[in-house]
Amino acid sequence: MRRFSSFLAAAVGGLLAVAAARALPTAAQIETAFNALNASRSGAITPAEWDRASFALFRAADKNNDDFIDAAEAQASGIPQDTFLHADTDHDGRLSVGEFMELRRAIFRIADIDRSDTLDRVEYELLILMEQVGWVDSNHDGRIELSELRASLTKAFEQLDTDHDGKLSPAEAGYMPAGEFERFDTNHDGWLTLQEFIAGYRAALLGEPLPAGASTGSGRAK
Amino acid sequence: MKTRSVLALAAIMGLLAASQSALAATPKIDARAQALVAALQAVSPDPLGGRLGLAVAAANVPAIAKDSDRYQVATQTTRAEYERRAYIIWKSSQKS
Repeated sequence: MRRFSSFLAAAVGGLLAVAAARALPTAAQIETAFNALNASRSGAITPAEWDRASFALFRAADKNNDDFIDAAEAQASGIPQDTFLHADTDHDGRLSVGEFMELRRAIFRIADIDRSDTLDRVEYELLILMEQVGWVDSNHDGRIELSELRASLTKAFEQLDTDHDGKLSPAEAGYMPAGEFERFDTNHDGWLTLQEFIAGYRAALLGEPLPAGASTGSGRAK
Repeated sequence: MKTRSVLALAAIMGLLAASQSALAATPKIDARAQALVAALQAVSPDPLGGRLGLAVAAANVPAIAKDSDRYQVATQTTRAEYERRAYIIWKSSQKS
């Protein structure tokens, strides 16, 4: 009976992980969204472009066009109740444009990991990943440090690795552009280990060269 | 007299044509905003950032860096009013 319970728990856990991984958009969808945000085609989303998109999202959520998002509109727009309650800083039971923009800008600031005041393609991709797995501000400085990013990436890797073999296939990492997968796969074995996954993002963010021929297998990142 | 009538008719036709093209342009602008929203919703179903947004909201991360004056305004009330006005201007730009 106990064995059956643990099997059931593992099966449910596996299904949840698959569901979570499947919820991730494809590389093409991320590219489309990035290009829609980056209307100037400068290669990085500016705060002004982010603001315009935020206004459009607010307008889409404000179904009755009264310039507020109430609890029902929030629910219909996919805003979780917890987020709604935190964002409603004056506790009047609805989100004003100011409250909505405050959180949207804070998200922009967090996603701007290299602190360049813009979001490039990699930062935007990480933002989408972190929307799925969350982030813990361990040192309470309101910024994503590399150690905190590593924790989030490890969580993302575990969710993406649906067959639990300790490495990602191109299909499991389907949210990544093919070129990025190949760049991160420094030993060119067609798989991404956790080490390659984290090292790839770190190099992309810091503009560092990738270490050639990283170890195979499911080695854990330092 | 006849020339004047023809000119008046031409002016009316011109005005009608201009108003028609203005009317046709309106849905194009709205359609662009709708396409943007659709593209964003395809990758982020929650406009407030999913689990990252929740973490940011719970941690009360400020939207403005202390060392940045990009959105610097005197008080929270002023900022809210600034946002509201900016939004209304944006909204009206979607209609004209």
